[in-house]
Amino acid sequence: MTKSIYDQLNAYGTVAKQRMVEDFSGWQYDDDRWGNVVQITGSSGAVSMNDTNDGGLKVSTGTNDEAMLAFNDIRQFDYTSCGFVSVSRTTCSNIAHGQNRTGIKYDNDGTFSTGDLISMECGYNNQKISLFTASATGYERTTSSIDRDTVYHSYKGLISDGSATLTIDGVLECTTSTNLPTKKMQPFIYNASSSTASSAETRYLEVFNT
Amino acid sequence: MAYKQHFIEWFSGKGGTNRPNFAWQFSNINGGTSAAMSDSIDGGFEISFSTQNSAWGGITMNNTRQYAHDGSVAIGVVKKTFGTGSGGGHFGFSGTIDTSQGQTAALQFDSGQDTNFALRTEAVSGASTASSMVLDENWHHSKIEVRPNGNVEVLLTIDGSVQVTRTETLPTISMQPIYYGIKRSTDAGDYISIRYMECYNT
Repeated sequence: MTKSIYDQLNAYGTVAKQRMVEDFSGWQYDDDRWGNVVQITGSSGAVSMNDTNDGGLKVSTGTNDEAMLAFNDIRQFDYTSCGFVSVSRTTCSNIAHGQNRTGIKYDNDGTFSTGDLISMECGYNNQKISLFTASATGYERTTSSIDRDTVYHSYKGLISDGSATLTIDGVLECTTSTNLPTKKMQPFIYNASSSTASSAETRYLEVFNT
Repeated sequence: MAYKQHFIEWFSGKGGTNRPNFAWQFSNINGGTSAAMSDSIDGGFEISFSTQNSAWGGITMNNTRQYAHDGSVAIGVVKKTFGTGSGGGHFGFSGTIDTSQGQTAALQFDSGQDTNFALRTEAVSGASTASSMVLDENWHHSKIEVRPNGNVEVLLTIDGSVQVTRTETLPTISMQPIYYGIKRSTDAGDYISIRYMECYNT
């Protein structure tokens, strides 16, 4: 018997909230869903499908540049009760020179320290993979026990009941109630490079309201 | 059993011109409609109407019909925002894209046709059967189930409760997912919304 995905995700007969599932497979990314790459610093930011096993989508930047991919400020996700699941990694010959953040954010731009967002964070000078939250009053970096690296991890970020959590590879690693977002948000993938070019590679992203 | 056609639309993202993405075609069936992704929490995709009386349009699959008239299901989360204006939406399957509404099995939430949510089925001609639920402007879960085994019946379920079963004027050809609306007055600001659609053959 054929079963609906809807009935597997929701209690029978209930009204589902907004959800988005992106598997990043195909010859190009869906530019009806995603906006153009946003050049935050410099102009080397690029988005492409990754022609390799399990490669997904790649947001790359050259040295000293930052770029991101988002929904052109179409914001359907609730800052009080939402979440994301991603499978992603940072690729860089020197992890201290590359940084990936993937999650849900208000602005389609480089406002992070006083923006409104929840994301994972991997790379740069932060030795540990972290949960990054921010609002207009500032940001909070909540570190996990996992060292920064360049391998794929499964991330699940949630905001619920005034608290944000990040689960990495199935283990709850980070919890905070500080500097949580206060505005509706959109999915995003961000990559930054310092003195070495790098990429954020994502092969799955799901964002939902709860 | 081999996997059959199955389609899910989340109605989330930037959106294309008058469409959620490349899978859909915007069909401005009788003029006066436009469409865009909603920039609001849980907003989904919206089809808006001008002040033109009988504005009529929405999204279809340009008559690419992959769903069986004798064994298919459409599930959606939809609502209308018409205020005091007359009109509303149709959600489900259709074998045509025109004002005839031919070859259709759809939820009808259209105040110009009924005071209640209804199930509309059409072959060459058709009719609707009202449910016990009075029309409102809230989000609802809706399921259109075209039963197999000789095209016996079409069921309408709303919010988990089977509301209507129709056994007459049932579609006779393959169908496509459709979501369109009809306006039956000249006031401004009317639209219909959808934030989930799933269709599959059984």
